[in-house]
Order: sequence, then structure tokens, then C-alpha cells
Amino acid sequence: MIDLTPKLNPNSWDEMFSNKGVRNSYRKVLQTLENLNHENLNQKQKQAADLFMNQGITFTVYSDDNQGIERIFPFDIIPRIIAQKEWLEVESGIKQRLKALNLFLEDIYNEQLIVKEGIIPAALIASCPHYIQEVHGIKVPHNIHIHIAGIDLIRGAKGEFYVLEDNLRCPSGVSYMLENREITKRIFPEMLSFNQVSMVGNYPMIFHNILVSLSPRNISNPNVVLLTPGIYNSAYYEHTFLARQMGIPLVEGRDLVVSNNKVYMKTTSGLHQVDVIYRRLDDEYLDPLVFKPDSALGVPGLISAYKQGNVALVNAVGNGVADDKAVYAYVPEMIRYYLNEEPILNNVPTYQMENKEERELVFANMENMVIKETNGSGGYGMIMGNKASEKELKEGKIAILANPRNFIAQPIIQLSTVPCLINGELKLRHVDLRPYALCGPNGVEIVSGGLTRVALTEGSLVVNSSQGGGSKDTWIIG
Amino acid sequence: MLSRVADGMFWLNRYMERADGMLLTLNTFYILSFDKQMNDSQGYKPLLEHYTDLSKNQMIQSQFDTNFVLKYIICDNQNNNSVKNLVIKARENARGSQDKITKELWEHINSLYHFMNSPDLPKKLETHEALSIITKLNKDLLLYNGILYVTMPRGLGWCFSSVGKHIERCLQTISVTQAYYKPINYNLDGDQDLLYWRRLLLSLSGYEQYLKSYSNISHNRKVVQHVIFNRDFAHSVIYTLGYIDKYLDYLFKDNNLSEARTLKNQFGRLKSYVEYTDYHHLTGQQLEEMLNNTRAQLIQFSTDFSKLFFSYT
Repeated sequence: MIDLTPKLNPNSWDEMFSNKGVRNSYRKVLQTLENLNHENLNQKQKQAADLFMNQGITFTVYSDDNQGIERIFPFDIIPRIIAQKEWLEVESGIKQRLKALNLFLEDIYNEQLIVKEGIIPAALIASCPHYIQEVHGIKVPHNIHIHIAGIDLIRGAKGEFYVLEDNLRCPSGVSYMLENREITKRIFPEMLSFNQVSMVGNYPMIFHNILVSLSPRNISNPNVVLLTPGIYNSAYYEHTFLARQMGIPLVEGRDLVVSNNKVYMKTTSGLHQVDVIYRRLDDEYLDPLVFKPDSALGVPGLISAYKQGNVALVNAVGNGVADDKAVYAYVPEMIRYYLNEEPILNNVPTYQMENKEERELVFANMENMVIKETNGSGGYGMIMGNKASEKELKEGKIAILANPRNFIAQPIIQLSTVPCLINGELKLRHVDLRPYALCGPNGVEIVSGGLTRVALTEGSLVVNSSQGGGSKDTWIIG
Repeated sequence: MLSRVADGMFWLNRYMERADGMLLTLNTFYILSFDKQMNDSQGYKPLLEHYTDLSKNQMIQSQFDTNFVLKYIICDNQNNNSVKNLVIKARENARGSQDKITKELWEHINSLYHFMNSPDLPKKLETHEALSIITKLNKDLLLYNGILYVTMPRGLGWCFSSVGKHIERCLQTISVTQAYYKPINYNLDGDQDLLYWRRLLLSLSGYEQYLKSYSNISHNRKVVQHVIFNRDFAHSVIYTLGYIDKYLDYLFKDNNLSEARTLKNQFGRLKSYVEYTDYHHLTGQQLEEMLNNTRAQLIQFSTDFSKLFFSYT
């Protein structure tokens, strides 16, 4: 038997245990775990790792002699559970947020009323590198700019949810949400059936229906494709997985060509017109005629075809302005401005480094702050004040002063913990949650679940897979 | 179907077929090397000649060196055609066409890739485990063909895969056949015994079938009949050309381009050339010419086929 009552951290919320013992939602899971010994659990952990490896759900690490070694993203077999009641609040909070963000994007690329009325400073938008001037004035199908969003949530010390960031460009990780569930079905079939867990497997179907609905041509079977940077991209597995699940061709930039402002794919029987592109390429690589001229990943003329309305791009071009970390601080104001509602989900307090007073406040409390680049991702360029050395803090200050617009600061929040199987023992590790929201002509749909990312290093708050993070299956029950 | 994906499926199957043929030959030679056989002047030479870029000198030095051959053929990174490198290339093509191949096929190629990349494989090949490794790999390739056959949808992808597979198989049969007729100067009236031909026939999976159709004709002529002209032998030249023809019909059925017509005619001439050769009265010189010409024409056909269907860059 293993010790099933790990020592709780008084400063953070544990998802499985309270001071009074196991939480209701985890009771049946704990019962199953109680019947397993070390060997059983380790065997299940190994079985899960083998399944990931054999399916090719891996990334490649290159050694000095350029020999690639395939590694899996670590998967912890103990699920993370959210009760239905809490989930409904999360769901309505995300729907509200996306509605406002969509209205913001429609506004900022057209009338810019939110700027004219002084809700958001014009300078903030003008200085955002992801505000794409080339698509100003564009009309997108059904006025939807965000078709798929990954909203990162964390829980504070009292279990309250906060939005940490909005991913509105090419949010990744949804294949892990789906595959984690498939793996859990194989290793804990009885545990899943006892707990009546909400399904996540309908995601590809919902998404495919949305993609089809965006076709500019009114035809029964529009040509929808997934555009990938190629087999060397770290998320390539996800691209192939989604293409296969939706039954759509997986194309690279070199497979497409633009002629007369229409996009075609090169097939063995000639050129076929493409109607909708779910692109997993960032804006700046989409079209070398408009953005990076040396990019071989995109398609020359694509933006022109897009502006003419001959092809739909998912997500729309230019969404980066809405998930800029400095603009993030204004999302609650957007909700009030566009929807006349109070935000259901809270933001983490955010200090703008451009603002002198806020900057000085942060500099005086660096050890309690996390500093982030406004357009960074993957945990890169982040300074955790409580872990950084004196030298790192000093260098951070210099970088902030050189370009304050490029940084924000937030107080360090102790993310909630969930027990994980580490070296055959249950240990508490910090987690976040990324639910995936899909927006189509019929509104916003959120699959009941999400990707729980876990910081596998003891005490770490950095959950990114690129920084040693892993993942868990996420269950909505009740 | 996307040209790039069709290209990927074509090459995926060429590489896997090459690995399959090479492993079968290696397995045959390795097992026969345990017998102290008289008159074996070639050793691993036919294998090294067709499947590697070794120079003549290197080949002479290594044609009887089992340890070297096993490692060079199976897992040498410097050998472009080692099983390891072929599987890596096959997997890369499979990755590029992953949305068009089945999950079962992908997982099988992927697990084979991981096996080939296990760091202790070269060491194990130096031990008594070598034979069980070769046997496992042979079975994995057989399983690949089974999974391909059972799970893949019949359609364009299947056709491109099958054309690639049969072009590769046909080229292998021609080359391995040449490797055994060249040392005897294509003498069709000679009296080489079954032990001589056994290596060739086992390498092409055709030994048992050959024995079952045993006749009074001398082996030197009978083997030609079997490996080139036997329509019921899955590795014969005529059988593989027949399959290519069948899938070309499917690919060309809605294609009215003049290039397609030209290619179809080009292949028709190649197939007829073999089909209407009178093997009963074939001379050694004619056999040599026929094998050389068929090989050259098939390589040209493969190039033109790629230009027509895969020119996506």
C-alpha cells in the first residue's frame, strides 16, 4: 500500500484533500487507489508511457551528435477532478469572456470605439506587435474572430478560479486532452465508469461542424484543410491527430497555391479549391508577401485571398492583439463595456510596467512577483521573483527599463495542487487548467474537461511542457 | 489526394519493401552461413552488391564477415540503406501522410522505429541474440504488409502505395537474379545445382513454390521461368508488373492529360516486352539484355510517374 494522505501545503488549495480529509468528488477515486499497491500503480504508469510512445505522441530531443531521442510528455495517471457545479461557473465565465474578446477584435479592426471612448489606451494597441494593420477593416464570416480558444485558469488559496491568460491564436494541447482520456480508459476502466465522467470525445465533431459553417462558398461539401508547419514542428502530432479525427487533409504551405485570389491545393488530379483553413501557423508565417518574406511555411497571396473573402482562416488573423499580456489587464473592462456585465471569472492582478507607479511598486516587491513578457509564451522569458537570483532580478529590471511595454508583472499565486504519482509515491504538485472553447455561428461551446498541466518539479509553479511540465486527465463529474 | 501525401505513401512503401527484401535476403544468408557449405564463392556479396554503396574492395573484404554485415545492414548509421535508415525514412514519409494512413499502420511503423533506435541493438547483434533479432524484424515486416492489406482503405492512397511497393519489389527481383546469373555468365544451359539456386529463391520467398513446380527442365532455365515469368509467384517480374498495371488503370481512369496517356503507353511497352519474351528459347545474352533493359525502363518509368503525380514543389 502507498501513503494516500500526502502532507498538505497550508498556502495552497489541494484539489483532492481538505483539512477534513478527502473531498467528495475524489472519494471513489481514492477507494480505487486504496486497492492498488506500489507495483500496480507503477505498472499502470509504465503502461500509459508505453501507449504514448507507441502512438508517437512524442517530441524529439537532440543530443550533441545530432541524434534525436524521442521523449513523451509526462502523463500522470491520477486524474484531476472538477465538480459539475464549479465547472458550470467556469463555463459561463469563459463564454462571457470570449463574447467580449470577440467583440473587442471586431471593434479594434473596424471602428475602434473602445479606444475612442478611452477604455483602452490607443498607445497600448498601437504598440502591440500582434496588431495586424494589414487586416484592418476586414469582415470575417459571422463576425467571429476567435473560433478556438484555450483559456488558462488557476485556483487561488481558497479554491477560487482566476484567468491567467487567454490563448486566442493557435492554442495547442487539445490532442492531449483527448488522448489522456483514451489512455485513462485503458488503465482505469472501472474508475471511469464508477465516476460518470463527462465526455470530451465530441470535440473534433463540434469543431469540424464549425469549420464547415465558415465556408465562403455555399456548397454542401466545402474543402476544409488543416495547415501545419510540417513534420518537424513540435505540435505536429496534434496536427495529424486533429486532421485524422475530423477527416480533413493535413496540408503544408507548399501544398497550397493562390491564383486569382483563390486558394487551391495541389492534388494528384490537379488543383482543388480550398474554402476553410484551420491554420496552425502564426500570423507572421502565413504569407511571405505580407509578413516574413523569407518564410517558406506559408502561402504567397493567402492574405489577399482572405481579405477578398474567398477563404476563411481559423483563427482569424490578428487575434494576438487580444491575448497580449498587457491587453489582458483590460479584459474585465471589455466585459463591462461590450456586455454591460460584471466579469464572472477574475483576472490575476496585473501591473503594467509602462506605468511608472506600478513599475516602482513591482521593483520594490520583486521577490513576490512573476515578471512576464507581454508576447512571450511557453514559460520562456518569465522571471519568478521568489526563485530568481539577485543577478537575474537585476537583469530583469534592466530589461524592463529598456522596454517597459514588453513586460507585465503579477503577484505570485500558489497554484492549487493535485496528488501525482512520483517515484511510486503520492506527492502534491501544482496544476493549472486549460479548457478549450469553440465559437461558431450558434454560440460558444466548451467541451466538459480540458488539459490539466502539472509542474512535476517539487514546489515549481511552472507547468509548461517546454519547462518540464506534464499533464493529467481532467474529469468533470457530478 | 495531395501530391505530397501521395509521394509520401509511394516512398513509404518503397522503403518498407526494400527493408523487407533486404532482411529476407540477410536472414537467408545468415542461416545458411551456419552450414559449412561447399562452393559458396559469393558469401554476402549478392546482398551487399544490390543493397549497399560499398566499393568493390570493401565488398571483397566483408563478403564473408558475418559480424560486419549484420551490423552494416541492420543498424549502421553510415549506410543509407541500412534497415535503421530505411525505417527512419519510411517513418518520416508516414508522418507526412499520417492523416491518410491508418492508426494501426502508423503505430506499427512507429514501434519498429523505436526498436531500431534502441541504443543496445548493435551490441546485441554481436551476440547469440542476432538471429532472434533478424527473425523479429522479418516478422515485423510481414506484419506491416498484413496491417497495410487489412486496414488501409482502397483508393488513391492504396494505389500509390501499391505502385511504389511493386516497383521496388520488381527492381529487387531483377537485381538479385542478376547477382546469381552474372557469375555463371548467364549460362542457361549450365547445371548449377539446387544448393546454388536455393539462396536466390529463399531471398525472394520463392523456394517452396519452386520445389512444388519442379520439372525436368534444368535449374538454370527453370529458375528464370520462376522468378521472371511465373504469374503465380508474388515476387516474379511479370507478377509485379501486372500489379503496377492494374493500379495504373485505376489512377488513369479519369485522367485525360496527354502526359498520362504517354506514361501509360510507356508502361504498356515495358510490360509487353517482358510478357512476350519467349523464355523457352531465351539465350543467355538475351536474358542479360532483358534484365538490364527492364531495369532501366522501370527506373525511367518511376521517375516519369513521380513527375506526373508528385510534382508539387
